[in-house]
Amino acid sequence: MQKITHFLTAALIFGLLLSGITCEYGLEQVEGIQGTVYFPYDSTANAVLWPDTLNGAFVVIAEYQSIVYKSVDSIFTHIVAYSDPLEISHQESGYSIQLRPGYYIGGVVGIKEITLAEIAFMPLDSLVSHPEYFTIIGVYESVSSSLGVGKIKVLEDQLTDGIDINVNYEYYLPF
Amino acid sequence: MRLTNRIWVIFILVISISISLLADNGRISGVIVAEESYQPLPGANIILVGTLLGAAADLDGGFTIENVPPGDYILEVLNIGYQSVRQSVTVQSGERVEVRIVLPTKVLKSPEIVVTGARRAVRKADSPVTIATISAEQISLRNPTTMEDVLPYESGVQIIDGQINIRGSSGYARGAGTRVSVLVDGFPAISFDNGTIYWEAIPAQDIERVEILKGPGSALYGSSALGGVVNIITKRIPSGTHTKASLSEGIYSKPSDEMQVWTSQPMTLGEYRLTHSRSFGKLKLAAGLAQNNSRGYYQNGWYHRTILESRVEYSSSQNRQLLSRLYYIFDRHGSFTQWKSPFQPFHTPAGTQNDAIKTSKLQWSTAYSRIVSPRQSQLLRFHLFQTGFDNELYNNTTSSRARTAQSELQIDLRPNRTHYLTTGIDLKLHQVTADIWGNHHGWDAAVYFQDELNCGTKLKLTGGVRGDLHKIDNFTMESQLNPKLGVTLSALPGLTLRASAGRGFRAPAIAELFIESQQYIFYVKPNPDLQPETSIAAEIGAYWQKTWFDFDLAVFSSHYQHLIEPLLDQSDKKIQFRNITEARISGFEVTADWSWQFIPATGTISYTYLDPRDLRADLPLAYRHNHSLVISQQFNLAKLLSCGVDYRYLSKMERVQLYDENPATGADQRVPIHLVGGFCNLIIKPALQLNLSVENLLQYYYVVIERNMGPVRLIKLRLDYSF
Repeated sequence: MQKITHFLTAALIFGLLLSGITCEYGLEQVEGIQGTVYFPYDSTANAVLWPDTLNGAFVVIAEYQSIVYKSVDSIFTHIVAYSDPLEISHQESGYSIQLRPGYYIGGVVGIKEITLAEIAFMPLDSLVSHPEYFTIIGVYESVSSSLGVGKIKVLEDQLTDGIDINVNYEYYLPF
Repeated sequence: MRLTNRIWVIFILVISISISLLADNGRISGVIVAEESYQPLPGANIILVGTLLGAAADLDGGFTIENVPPGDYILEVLNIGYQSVRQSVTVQSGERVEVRIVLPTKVLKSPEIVVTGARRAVRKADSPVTIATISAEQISLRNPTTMEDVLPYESGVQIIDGQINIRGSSGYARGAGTRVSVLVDGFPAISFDNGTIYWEAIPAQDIERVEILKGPGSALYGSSALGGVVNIITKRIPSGTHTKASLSEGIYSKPSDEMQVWTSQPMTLGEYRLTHSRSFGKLKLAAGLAQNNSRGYYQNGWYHRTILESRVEYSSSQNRQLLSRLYYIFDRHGSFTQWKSPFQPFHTPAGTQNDAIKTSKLQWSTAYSRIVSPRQSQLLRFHLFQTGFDNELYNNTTSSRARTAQSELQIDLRPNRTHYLTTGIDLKLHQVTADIWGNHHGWDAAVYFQDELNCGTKLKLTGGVRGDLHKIDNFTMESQLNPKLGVTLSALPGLTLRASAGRGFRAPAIAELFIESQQYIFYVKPNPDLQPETSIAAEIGAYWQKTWFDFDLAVFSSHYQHLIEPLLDQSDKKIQFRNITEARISGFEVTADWSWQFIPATGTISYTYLDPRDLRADLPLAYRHNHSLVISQQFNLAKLLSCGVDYRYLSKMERVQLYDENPATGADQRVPIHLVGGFCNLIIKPALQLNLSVENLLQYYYVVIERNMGPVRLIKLRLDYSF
């Protein structure tokens, strides 16, 4: 009985000591953004509005450039990341994207001609070099921005929440 | 020669043989004891060198070898943890020879004998291929839930999300197919439909030892063994009446980042097992019941598992044995494909929280062995393996049932002291009923032959070949011929050099041939034209065994052709399994076991280097670690307390297939893996043991494959009570 008591006491002390140990290495603390994409909803049909010409949608993030944007292409030639496919059958679809600290702009693209599976097999470089596969159906906007395009700020070790985007199929750039 | 002369010669020969057969054979009986305590050594292997006769010591260390023809023999006794001993005996006609053999303690615990390389017991040093072993003690001290937790502590062995790799053979193919054959007592533990290994169907507590053949084993074991063989050998039922209760409770540590914590409940696991065995003369029976439950370290990582087992052993004599085992598992577990986000890596994506999978496995295996004469032994095996699963996923409610019936006859012949022949025939029938890949049936037939030639006392040559026929439905029958060659040379006392070359193959699994389903965003279509993948491998090595250390070096290279991998078909954007890759995996492996001379401690260090190349794309093969290192140190205090520390390192995977690292954002980062584990085992009294073990002691965060986190720290406490 004494042996059991000693062993269990040692095990308990060992366990308590362990609970304080955390390795500083391994996967780093991550930072980025998360938010919700809102799709237009037809309350009469009780369904999300979705054009048949598009095969899916996801959020893309580009580096913020301090220039005046003149076209859709000029915004998204600097794409650095994109989200997992959005749930297009729901009115709201959450997303999150890991990003390094810095400034970004974001939007929602619908994909044409290719499938989500193809995109998953495609490196980012190839994706960026094929703008013909994408059409912008939403941009993160900010009322505080004179351009209307919201500037997203990502801080070190922080998750920037509330980067919500409304989808608009008749979207035009607000400048 | 005239006909009448020939008849006379044949007549004399027949009479001579008859007289020799009628001669009254003798028997050898004895007892095996340990030198240190003079206590009996149950389980010790006794071999009559140069014949097929032998025995295993019973619970009292006693043994009998019957039907021994008169003559002079060498008796060799082998037991794990003891030095092997050879002793001369002379058997007279009709007499019984009594021996008492004392085995000196061996400092290193590495097993002396292995059975996997040649389908029979041979000295580990005499094997022309690398065979690593994991002992029952090593397994018990680490208190694994399944063998998945223990095997990666062997050099060159990794398990990636359930798929086992030996020297980088398998990579990761999302559950379909395995390039390593996993056997339990020689019977396959791989389902026929998707080629998945059911690790939970392997009883970790009942294992006597595990043997890992590194390199192609298809010349003896057929399909799936092109990357190697893991043979799990279970313990025999002890004599007498025994009951054992085992209670194990564990808890996973929560991540330090509150956002990553997916539950407010403790992440616990519990394993409860009760076994009872009893012997009635020559008949031994054992039965057991186990219940394993876990909440998991990630959302949907839970499982509830019920295991029923029974075993029968019947020995009509030392030369005839019947072993039978029935195993049934019912399991329901959560399903997890990938994390919700890098900010919540232990959460499952929205909408998938209720995803679950039900599985069941039924395994019945029976082996009957008999030593017909000192020159011939036979082994007859029957095996039924039934697996099934039902997916209860948000977008997938598929199911499958697979059945395999196997029958095998192996004959060992020892025509003289120079040759040792092993030959056999292996037949399998398969049936699959499934909505995910349809209903199918098929069969396999194989014949194998191996000859071990002893050229003097130092040189051994081994040659073998296996022919396999494989047929599914009404498709064309596949045929494969897999030869192998090996040589071992005892160059110096304790030093053995070896070289081997062989061919391996794997027939595609039903899943790879016929799957038609949607997995996440991927549509997968069938490819009935898939061909078997093949490999040609060669190895040279050296094994140096001294009192205080063992050293093993192996340099190897495997060339793979027609490797099956998933590929996106650009015409219809669907994924299909195809024979696309030609690959080469080269490398070397160094293992050293040692013992300190003045303190009761043993240790091991092993390092494996791999250079896995996709020769067509000129890229590294995906899902392989180039460097792996394992260091273990164990201390034994007064035979009552054993404590140890394990360290495992795996270099960062150079390449994955789906989500590569994004240097611009840091997303999908992969890191080298550093894992530290520890264990302590206290024998309070022979019938009562306590075990404390910790895995991932430093709470190191890493991904196993893309978007799947490796296990966090797990602390387990186990109590074993025998009565």
